[in-house]
Amino acid sequence: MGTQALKNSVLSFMKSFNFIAVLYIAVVSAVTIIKIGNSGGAVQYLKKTNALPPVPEKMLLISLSFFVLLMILMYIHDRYEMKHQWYIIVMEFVCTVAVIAALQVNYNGVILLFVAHMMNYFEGGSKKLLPLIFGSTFFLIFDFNACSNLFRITSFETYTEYYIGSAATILILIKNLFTTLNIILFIVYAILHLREQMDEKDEINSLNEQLQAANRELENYAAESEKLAQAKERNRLAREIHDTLGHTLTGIIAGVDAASAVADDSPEMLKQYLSAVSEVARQGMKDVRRSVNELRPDVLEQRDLLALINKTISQMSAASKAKITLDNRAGRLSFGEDEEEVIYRIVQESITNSIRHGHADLVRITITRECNIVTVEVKDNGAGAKNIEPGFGITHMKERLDMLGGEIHVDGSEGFLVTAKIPIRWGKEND
Amino acid sequence: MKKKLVNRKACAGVIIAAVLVLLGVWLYDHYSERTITLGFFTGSSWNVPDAYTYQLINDAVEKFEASHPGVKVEFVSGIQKDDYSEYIASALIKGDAPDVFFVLPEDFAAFASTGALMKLDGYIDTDEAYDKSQYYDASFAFGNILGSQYGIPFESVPSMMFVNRTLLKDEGIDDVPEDWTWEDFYRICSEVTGDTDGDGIEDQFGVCNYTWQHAFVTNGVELFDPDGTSCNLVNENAIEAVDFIKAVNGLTKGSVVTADDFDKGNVAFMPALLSDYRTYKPYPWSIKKYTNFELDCMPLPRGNRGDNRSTMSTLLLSMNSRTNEEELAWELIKTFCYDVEIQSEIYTYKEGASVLKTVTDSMTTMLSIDQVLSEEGGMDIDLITSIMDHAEPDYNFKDTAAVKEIMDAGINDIVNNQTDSKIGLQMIEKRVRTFLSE
Repeated sequence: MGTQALKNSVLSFMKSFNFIAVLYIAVVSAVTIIKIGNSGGAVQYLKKTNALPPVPEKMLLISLSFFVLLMILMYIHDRYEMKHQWYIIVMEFVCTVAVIAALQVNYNGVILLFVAHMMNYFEGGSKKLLPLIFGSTFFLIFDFNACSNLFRITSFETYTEYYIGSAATILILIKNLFTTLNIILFIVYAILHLREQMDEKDEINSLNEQLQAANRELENYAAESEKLAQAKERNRLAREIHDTLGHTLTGIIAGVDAASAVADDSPEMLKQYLSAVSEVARQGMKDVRRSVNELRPDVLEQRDLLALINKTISQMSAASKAKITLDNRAGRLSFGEDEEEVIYRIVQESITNSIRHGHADLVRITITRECNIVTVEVKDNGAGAKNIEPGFGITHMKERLDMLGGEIHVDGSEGFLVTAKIPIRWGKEND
Repeated sequence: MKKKLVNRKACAGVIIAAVLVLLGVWLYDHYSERTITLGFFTGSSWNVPDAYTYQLINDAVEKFEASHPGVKVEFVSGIQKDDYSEYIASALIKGDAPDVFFVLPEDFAAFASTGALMKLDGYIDTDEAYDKSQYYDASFAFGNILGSQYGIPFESVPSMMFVNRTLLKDEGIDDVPEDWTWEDFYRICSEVTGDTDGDGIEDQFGVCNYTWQHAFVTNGVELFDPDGTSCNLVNENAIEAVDFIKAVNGLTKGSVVTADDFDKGNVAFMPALLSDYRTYKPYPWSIKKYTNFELDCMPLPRGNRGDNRSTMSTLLLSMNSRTNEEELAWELIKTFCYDVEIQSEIYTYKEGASVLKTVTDSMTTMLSIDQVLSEEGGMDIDLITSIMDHAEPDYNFKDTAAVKEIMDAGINDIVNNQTDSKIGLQMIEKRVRTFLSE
């Protein structure tokens, strides 16, 4: 930030500096022209030069007013957002040329000011070099010696020949001082500009590194929490095994031991013990079932598919305010576990895509059945997508379908349209 | 959004205001009385007395204003010829020069080369009421620099040879042909040179003021490139001319003969300008200067390789390149330089010749009446017409004056020191070239 502030103050200084330079050249030239005109040496002057000097009042007026106009344009350019900034750049350039032309190319530093200002508006990539190339080209073109061959112009030095002795030298020295200092100011500005850009790059790099570090941490954390979850799951499994199987097996061992102890003496007692063991084993079996049920990953088996889909629809529409309709023409949806799972996943994934990627507010789900092929069609009115990106969960759905020998077709040209065909195994239905 | 809208309104306001202001300025400019400024000087550009400049200027201005209602010609009067160059140059530098102004022959090239004078080729070519062939070639060519016309001729003055008829008659010479040669000239000069009062000192001479330029122009020497950037001195024509000057000067045997001697009637020939002739010779506008002999004029004698030619100097009228009234300025220039009536007044009020062929030709009939009335006889218009037809424009590049000085000094050296003409010319050529390349 320090660099930018410094850069801006250099530019401001350049503006005032150039104003003084333009004022100096214009005033000294104008005063000298009038003096030459009144000196009695006008004929001699005209015989010596090959150019009529500019009309002094006009030169002053034109150079200064165009300079002021340039400053106003730069202010507007900085202050307001421009849709077509080329217009204003062209206007700024015209003003720059007008100032230089009015001074008969005796001071071309204004072009550096113009370039310095323009550099702010060309950032990144090859565009960055544009102002510099442009500036150096015109800095070379607007050279007095180059222009004096093409146009009738008079050099500042010619005017100052009017003055006798050191006065002329001092006037030229001051002019050269302006030119040189302006170049130095421009170089300082350019260096600061480069440094600012490098600072920006550094900042981006360091932010990027921080982001990567955070990402790594997050990954570590995820891995850790996975491990933690695994550990927890193991503990739960251990507990379940201990609580159910352990308990039951302990009961069975104790029962069997007791039964074997009384086996010879009392068959009555033996029977009694064995029935107790049987009871324990049965209870154990029940507990194991319960445990296994609790450990099952999905809730799917607890409801039927239609209810589950309806629940998802209501949840999704409540969360997204999208209108989701289901048109089920396939009757009772009762298939194999894996088939139901695939259908459910396709519906769920498609709705998610429509809402998340297509921003749709209307989603229509149609489920039809023809012989052993169930067709699920999900259509929305959203933005769709020109290219179906793999991140949309399509791959996942395809993999699942592949395992069942089904197929899926996705079309993103007019909203999303997902069509999936799932072959159903015979005999499994309606059980 | 709101900010932008305000900006757009402000921009539109500024643009409308600017357009209104410009429209106002244009309307004011268009419907107010227009003025055009004229720059001129009093006195003759050829250093002879001149009393009637205002008369001609006033007549031309009146005529112009009468044919252009609503236009006023403004001028500053009372500027003397000696101050005029500086007056115009100063005004040009400060940017307040008149729209149309007379340009002295010696300033013309310098003014034109700085871009102070408007190129008039466009008007000359497109104006159907204007025909440049009406002018004497040499007059019109004087306003041309490197193929562009920067001035229109107003008044021309060719060089010619003054002849002391009385002296020649006394010496028994009365049949000098008009197309006389250097030999004729040299022969007569050597015949008349001598001691008339018997005091042993020569007091009657052939010629005075005969310079290299007279010899060059009559022997076909093309001294400079048209643009005056290169000079070509070492050729047979120039060597002959210098040899001839040496010979003519040798006749006086060291005596310095001046115009004063001619005025006293002791010299047979003297090259002079038409303006001198017109000022001092013809009735009724003449000033009596040569009272003790009969003054006549002739073309300059021709060399072996040349013709009876003269150099002709011309006063031009130019347009300021910064004028806002181009069309009017051109019309005013035409009034001065192309109007037969105004051009005729040159023979009434000025000392030179009209640059229009028709005007100068018709003077023959007009002046013949005066000739009858005059005891001494008028001027020989046929002779003047012939001289002007055969004239060459005087050198008119920027450094003419300085180069002429170098030439004068160099030729003087050759004549006085009797240097070999070729070697002398080589040295001068070197000096001139060095000067021109600086």
